[in-house]
Amino acid sequence: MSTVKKVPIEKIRTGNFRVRTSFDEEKLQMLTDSIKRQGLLYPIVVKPLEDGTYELIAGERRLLAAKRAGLKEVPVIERKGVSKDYEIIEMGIENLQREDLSYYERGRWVAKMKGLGWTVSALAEETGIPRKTLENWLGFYEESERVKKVAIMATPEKLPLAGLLEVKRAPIPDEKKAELAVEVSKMPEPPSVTEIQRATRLIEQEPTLPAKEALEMARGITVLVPIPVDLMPKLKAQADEWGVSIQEAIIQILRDYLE
Amino acid sequence: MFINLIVVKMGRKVNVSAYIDLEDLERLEDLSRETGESISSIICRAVKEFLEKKMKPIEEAKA
Repeated sequence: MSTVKKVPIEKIRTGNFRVRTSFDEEKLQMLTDSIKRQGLLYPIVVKPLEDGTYELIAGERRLLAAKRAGLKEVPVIERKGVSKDYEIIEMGIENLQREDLSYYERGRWVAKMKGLGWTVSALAEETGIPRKTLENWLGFYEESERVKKVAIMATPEKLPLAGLLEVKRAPIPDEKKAELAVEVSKMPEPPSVTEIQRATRLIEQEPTLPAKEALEMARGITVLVPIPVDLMPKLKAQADEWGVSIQEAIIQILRDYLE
Repeated sequence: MFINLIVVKMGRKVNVSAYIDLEDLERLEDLSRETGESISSIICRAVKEFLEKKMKPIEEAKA
């Protein structure tokens, strides 16, 4: 049963397990400013304890910002009589909806649930998150320390999951993978998966190439070129003669043309 | 070169996707501004001119 009420902020404490391990300072400041202007619009979720205090289930970021904004009381939803497992599921779901939660933190949450006896399939059914996605997150958490750094830096907001998988499986040194993840996280526009593939291949060919430079070189666009049907066999013959694909032949012709 | 393969038949034309590097793209954009043609039209013209030039001596020899 859930009820909404206001409770003193100092009575709320965080539990032992936290989904988030870090907060984006800029976003936290924006939320603090918003709370100062409009108050805390969405209640945080807590569990009442026997000693009259409350344990936080979901909304750590909001709680932290509310403290910074100087609120004495905050609106809460009380969760009574829920099991520890469901508390952690709720913590996870609240945070997983945010694009800025890193893949590492996601994987850590899945690992925690597994430790509580949940299978990935059961968790997928309970949360509605595809099993493959949960397995991928868990994979990042269980990776070697160096690759783990990549997953700590990367969030869905900055790097699509498919892009992170490209980085992970690329035949480049782990330190280059971490460097690539750092550079991607700094980019104002997240690169496409194709651009990430290009960047990793450039590094594979030239291992000393800085990741930043590789990402810049990998930037480009896909253009649809309307080729008359009667020219296609000739273009195909030309591509075969050069031993390249039709698309590569087009680029080769274009470069000669632009010279 | 890293290219996605998309081939779409549109009437008498086939759309072929080509991944353009930034360096080439900048030059294409300059050319597009100068000529008023779209980037894909410029690429299409370049391909057409190249193939016609290449095929001309062969066709002349046949004639």
